[in-house]
Amino acid sequence: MNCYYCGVDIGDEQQCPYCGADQRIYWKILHASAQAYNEGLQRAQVRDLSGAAVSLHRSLRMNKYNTQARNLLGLVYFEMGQTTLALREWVVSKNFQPDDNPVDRYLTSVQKPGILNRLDSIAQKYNQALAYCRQDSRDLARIQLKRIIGSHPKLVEAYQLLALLLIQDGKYEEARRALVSAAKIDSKNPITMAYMEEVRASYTAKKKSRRRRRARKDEPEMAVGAEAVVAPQPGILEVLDGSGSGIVNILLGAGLGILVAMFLIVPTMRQNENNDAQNALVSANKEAATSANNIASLEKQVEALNKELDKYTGQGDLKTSYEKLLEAQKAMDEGDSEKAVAAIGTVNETLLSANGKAVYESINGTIQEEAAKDTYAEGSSAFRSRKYEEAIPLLLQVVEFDPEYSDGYALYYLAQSYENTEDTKSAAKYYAQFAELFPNTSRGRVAKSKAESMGESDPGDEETVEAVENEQMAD
Amino acid sequence: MLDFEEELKKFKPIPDTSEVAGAIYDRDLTDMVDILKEMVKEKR
Repeated sequence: MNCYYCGVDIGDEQQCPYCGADQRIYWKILHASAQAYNEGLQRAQVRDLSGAAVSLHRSLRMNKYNTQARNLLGLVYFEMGQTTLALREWVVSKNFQPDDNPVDRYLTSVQKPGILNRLDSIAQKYNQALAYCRQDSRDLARIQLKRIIGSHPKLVEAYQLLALLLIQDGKYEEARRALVSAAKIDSKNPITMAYMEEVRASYTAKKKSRRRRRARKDEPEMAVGAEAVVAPQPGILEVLDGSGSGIVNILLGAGLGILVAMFLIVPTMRQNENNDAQNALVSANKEAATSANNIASLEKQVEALNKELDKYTGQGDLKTSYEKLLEAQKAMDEGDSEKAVAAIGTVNETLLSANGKAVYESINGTIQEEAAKDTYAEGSSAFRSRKYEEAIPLLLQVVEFDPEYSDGYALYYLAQSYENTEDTKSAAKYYAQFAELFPNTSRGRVAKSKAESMGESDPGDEETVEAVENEQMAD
Repeated sequence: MLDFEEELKKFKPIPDTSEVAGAIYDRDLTDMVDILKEMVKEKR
């Protein structure tokens, strides 16, 4: 071994025979450096890369020429995605031990074409993502970090930064996944563990709040003042209690319930139903009365309108009435009484003026006179033919038109016709009327006596007819 | 609860490979042997 101070090979001497430097401290330092390296190696083997880096740094602090420790530190950095730091350690290692240094293999593999460019590109992207984070552009940062992880899945810091962003946004599950991936590379990284603990804490808090909510839902609460007291719910087995008294209690309760329903609830329900029915009936009656009133009102309206209509229908309007009046006048002039009767029958007298009414009455009087003449001829003919039943209605028409028609003969024949049909009451009536109208005639005197004695003396038909005919001839 | 801003400060930019030389120069390579040498030198 060489002296650490003068560099001369002194073998196993504790003190340098040339410079006198005490070698024991140096040995202790080398031993401590070797121990730290061993510790770093063990940690690296269990993927505690952060711990390994710490141990290897300590080893190199004691002995910077510990090539194995430096090479391993470079390898640890490279595994964690820190390419530049890895290259730094390897270059220094190569510088301290240019020959027979295993770092040549690492440097050769890294310096292959395109690899360094790719690693630089990843470093730039990560730095950009970090800048996005500092500008509070978290969405862009997340996208960038996911891209980096996709192309270079060993960059522990990318996972950690992504997890930090996700935790900040409350996306704990995604954060947990990122941290698990980071832990697969560096199992005991302090930042990864701290973030994982944060995620666990959030899960615990969620579970607790969920349990509280579930407990609130499941457990019945009896409010007592401002506080709520949770009452435990007995199970069905506890209620039954295996003794049978529970069943009896249940049956008693059910029986009481039925009785309460029968004596309290059912009558009330029936009463309500009856009230409803009565109300419905009253309402229906009101509606019916209203409908009846409406019907009566409508009927009155219809009646009034029909009356109004009657003035115009069948008898014609004003113009038609005058036309028919002229038509009746013309028919009378031509001697066509039938046509005149038909025309005058459709004239509305109420619509005519005073002159019109005078014409109407004149024509109507003429027509009726003509009609009376014909009716009297027919009635008197029936009387002479002793067809009294036929004669009575015809003579009645004539008498109603003019009781003095044909010097009272129509009236006299009517009285005689009633007498001959043994209707003495009617006969006496018309005899009395005749005697009153013609008191100073012989027929008047006969009529008077007949009216007075009607019922006592009943002269024969033939005598009466002959007497009357004789009197007629004499008059 | 994590302080996002504080945590963010822990993250440093990754140096480019072109910065390896600078990183080497910045690397403090002093070890305990160097200190021991200094101590022996001063003692003498």
